[in-house]
Amino acid sequence: MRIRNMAILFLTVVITLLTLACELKRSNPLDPTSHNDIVVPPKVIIVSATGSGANVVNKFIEITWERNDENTDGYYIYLGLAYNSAYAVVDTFIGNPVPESGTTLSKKIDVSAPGHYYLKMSAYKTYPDGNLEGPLSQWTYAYVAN
Amino acid sequence: MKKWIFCLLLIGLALQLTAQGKFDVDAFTNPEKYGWKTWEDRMNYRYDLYERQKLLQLYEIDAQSISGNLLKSAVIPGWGQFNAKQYTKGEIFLSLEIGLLGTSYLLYDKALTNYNRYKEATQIDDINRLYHNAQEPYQYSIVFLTLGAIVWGYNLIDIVQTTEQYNAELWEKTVKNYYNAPVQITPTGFQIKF
Repeated sequence: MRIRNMAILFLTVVITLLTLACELKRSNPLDPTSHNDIVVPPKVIIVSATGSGANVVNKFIEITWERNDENTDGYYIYLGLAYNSAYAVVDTFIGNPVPESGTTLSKKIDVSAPGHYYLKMSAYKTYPDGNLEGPLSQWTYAYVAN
Repeated sequence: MKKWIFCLLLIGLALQLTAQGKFDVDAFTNPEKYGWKTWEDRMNYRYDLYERQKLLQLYEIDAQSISGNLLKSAVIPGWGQFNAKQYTKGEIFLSLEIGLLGTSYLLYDKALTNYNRYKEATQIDDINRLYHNAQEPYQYSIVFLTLGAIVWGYNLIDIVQTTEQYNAELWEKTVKNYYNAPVQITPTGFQIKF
């Protein structure tokens, strides 16, 4: 009886350890862990974000960031209403052109209302199975006057 | 050609017959091999055998088959134990199995949801986070499934012993009731002791 209990305990421990070693297949075609040809775009560094001034009819935020040198085919711009809130993609910058002067790129984003805005950015790289988006940048604050 | 085969067959049979040892009739018919020293011993044994045969018929009415209980416990863990009147054991096996397999299913479902989202994800942080969120419950679901399989297996081992124990107790009870009861119901009729 005691030997049988010990055998069951041993079997349980062995099977538990074996099953813990089981892994799900990384089947996402954009997953760089399972696909050596996939390279993640680098993180974007936002230089500044400036809101439009008072009495401007078409309100906007102008965002400026450092251009990524490699593995980038475009940029996503995210907007949130608080630094820790949910962010949503509001605009896309297609391409990664070399600026005529300096190392930064910029874009104006239209906003519907004045107020406090928080922005984030990410770069993406186009692959046959879709766009792989890199890590999100740090947030930046912008104020759009009334 | 056929004659040769026939002759060889006859020789083979003859050799086999001579190879057999002489049948010991005395040893076969010796009553002392059963431990009977006297005629009375022999009669007592015969009477005891006759009584046991009667009891065996009574016992077989209520005795449970191991294969039947094994099948029940294989289909629903604990069912065989319930059948053998081991209710606590049956409840433990059933609740353990429901708990383990239910938990395994819930974790697997959670893992599958996250895994499907992972397969559709395009953002690197989402890809890593969703894969991790799928992987962890998946492993735990397998652990719970394995534990469920072990409990199921143990339940099958247990039902064999439980049925044997039930049948042994039934035999004792049958013998006790038979010798103590003033009115005895046998497969052949009634018997009243005065």
